[in-house]
Amino acid sequence: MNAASWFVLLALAAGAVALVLLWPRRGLLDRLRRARRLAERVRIEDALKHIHAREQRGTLATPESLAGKLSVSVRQALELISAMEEGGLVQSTGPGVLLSPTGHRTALRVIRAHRLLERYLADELRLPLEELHATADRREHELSEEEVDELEAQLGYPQQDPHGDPIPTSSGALESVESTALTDWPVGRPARVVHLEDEPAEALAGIVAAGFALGMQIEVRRISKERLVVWDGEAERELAPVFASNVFVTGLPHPVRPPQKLSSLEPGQAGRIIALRCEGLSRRRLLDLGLTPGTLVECSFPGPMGEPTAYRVRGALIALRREQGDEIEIEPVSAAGAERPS
Amino acid sequence: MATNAPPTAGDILESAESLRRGLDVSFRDEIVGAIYEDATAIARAAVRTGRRAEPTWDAKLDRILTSRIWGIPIMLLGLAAVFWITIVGANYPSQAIATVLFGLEDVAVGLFDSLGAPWWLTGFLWRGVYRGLAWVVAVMLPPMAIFFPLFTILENLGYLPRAAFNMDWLFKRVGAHGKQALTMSMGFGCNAAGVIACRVIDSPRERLIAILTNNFVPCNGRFPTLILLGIVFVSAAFPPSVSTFAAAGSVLAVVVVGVLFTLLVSWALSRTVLKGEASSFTLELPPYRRPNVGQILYTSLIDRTLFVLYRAVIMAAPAGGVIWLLSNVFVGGDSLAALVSGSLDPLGRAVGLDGVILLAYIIAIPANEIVVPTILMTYTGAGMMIEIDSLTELQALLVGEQGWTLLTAVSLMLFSLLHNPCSTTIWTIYKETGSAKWTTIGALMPLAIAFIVCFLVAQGARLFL
Repeated sequence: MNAASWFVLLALAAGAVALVLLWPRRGLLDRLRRARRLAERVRIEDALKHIHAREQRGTLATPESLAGKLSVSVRQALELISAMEEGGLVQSTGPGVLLSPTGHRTALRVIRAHRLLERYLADELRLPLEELHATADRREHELSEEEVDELEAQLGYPQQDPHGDPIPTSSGALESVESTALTDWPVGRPARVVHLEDEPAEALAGIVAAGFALGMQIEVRRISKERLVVWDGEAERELAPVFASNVFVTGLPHPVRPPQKLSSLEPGQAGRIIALRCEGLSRRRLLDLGLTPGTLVECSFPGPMGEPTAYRVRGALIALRREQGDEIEIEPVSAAGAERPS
Repeated sequence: MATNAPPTAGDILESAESLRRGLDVSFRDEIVGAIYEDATAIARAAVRTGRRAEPTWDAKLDRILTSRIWGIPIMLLGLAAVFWITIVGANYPSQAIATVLFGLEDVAVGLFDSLGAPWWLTGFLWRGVYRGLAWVVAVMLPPMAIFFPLFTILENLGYLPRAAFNMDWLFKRVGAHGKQALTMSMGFGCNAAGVIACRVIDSPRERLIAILTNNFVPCNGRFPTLILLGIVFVSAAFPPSVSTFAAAGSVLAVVVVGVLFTLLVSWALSRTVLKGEASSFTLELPPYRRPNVGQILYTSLIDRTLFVLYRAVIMAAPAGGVIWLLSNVFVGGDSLAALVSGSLDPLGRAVGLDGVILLAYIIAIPANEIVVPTILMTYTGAGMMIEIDSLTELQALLVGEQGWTLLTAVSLMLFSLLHNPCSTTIWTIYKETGSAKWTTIGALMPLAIAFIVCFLVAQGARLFL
């Protein structure tokens, strides 16, 4: 090959490289710039969430706590705080960092996106409880305010996330829920689980594995340094105190009553629905089929392997898996009542 | 509002939001409950019910069809019966249609020749495009016209939901939806129809699993291959009086393997990329009804058969042209078909097949019906797709000349069961998921599984046998 053709080839190659790099929006440079901008936004939003969480707990965030939370050096945390101060989001004071009204609004917007996403992941995609937080943490920064509002409307304006945390409204109102950590709750007093802390995820996984769920009625039986034993009306459940401190409860006006579930009915037995213990898609499905509170349901026959089970509901035969039967709370009705549908 | 000024939009939204907060969480239950109460009142006023007879025959039938002992055997027997009726019943009309359509081809070729059209035009149009079309119609139309009505009868009777009810425990164990049994049975007719049927699953995760695994149910287009292998390698060993049963039995065995792969892949998907908990499973078991003949004929023939056939024809016509070109364009003394299949041969041998079979599967991406005729065409070096009528002739060609063994038959059955879906199905997956990513996975994952499974089987067989 002669020099001229080499030159042409080189020029073509250089042109191609320049195109790949500089192409507007699709080029590598623009992509890089966008990724950097997003990373910057993620860092700021995560920092705001941390400062907000501290304020809720009645303490203030410090550069050190922020550095720990974001896994950056204290020096980088300081730079981040001064950048946020310039943007009018926070205000440094002696004991720590305070949110400005703008910063407060931004923090609430991110928390709102986070909790609505968790609701969506849990109800519509049925992700396990302990995996919600990490996924929502990544996606919360990518949604615009309009998209978050749309998500809220689609989910039917839920008021709590799947861990029991309140979801801020679009106007920025955040209810606070009174609750006590299980480790501080008196022995023998009936309680309802209202909140399962989602961080760290390992603790939540342990709590879920021990059989704890939101809305459960419990009573602390014994507490020692090694373990805490609770009674849920049917069985005793154990938890290490370090996990139990992530379970939050409020008082229950009556003694612990184990709910009777639809799945506990034998063929021929009947019950009346009291409440549905599920959200989102599953709840809508059950309601659509006429499984509304007050409805009489009769257990008809089980499937070949004991599951699913067919139930007679409003004259129709509907098959449910055991999990769905577990989510429907009933009061037993004598067999005589089952023959005369109300 | 205390003031007299009309409220602004902002005021209304704000008060709606504060009121919403005050609502009990169960207010939606109450709305649905109220709707049902109204419906009950209307029904009570309008519908008169007689005294319920004691244990109704519905309930008795349910006890048998869903019983621990009889439920699953009845299901398998029913499936075998449907296959048998399809195999036996489709044979004669298939041959009749083939005779008429291929006769038409000869007439057209004669006409073209007498008009002095160049040989390549006549060849491409009539020996290629038209022949591919005619083949697909002849092979596909009769079994579909039998299979789909049978299937619709089962649907109309109310049996299909019971089958899903019986199978649900399996699907639950692999993290999938019980209604996947319904979409699978639809896939026997046509995988594209099966993929569309996945709309009945309302959880996105489980619908995707059902869509991606629907291909492991052999469709009508693949039955001819399976039936042919069943006849040549299985039923040849039986007396003629039971040979159709043996063929139906071997097809049923392949179907059971397909169901196993469906469960296995569903399990793998729901543990890895499509992780999540089983969604709510609710299945209505409608009362048994007498099938409505008019409706059955309309749904099965117009909605399903003609629709599927139309799509297949659109896809098969160009494939017919490609086959003709491949076997009539010569490069250095060899036809393109021979050259390509020669280069594919080492890969084919490694998975227990050969280059010709792989070539046939590449050409048959638009329509799996033409796999067998393409293989026969390439083996015999004919310039067009051919059919061999007598069984002994076929055995002589495959076993005698081409050296097919039981391993070839097993590998081909597995490959036919597991390989990539046809282009119609791939296009349908794209339409249903709206995602290029899942469509690619839906196309390539089965192909990879087919190669891996066939490779393991072939190598294992060569090692131990």
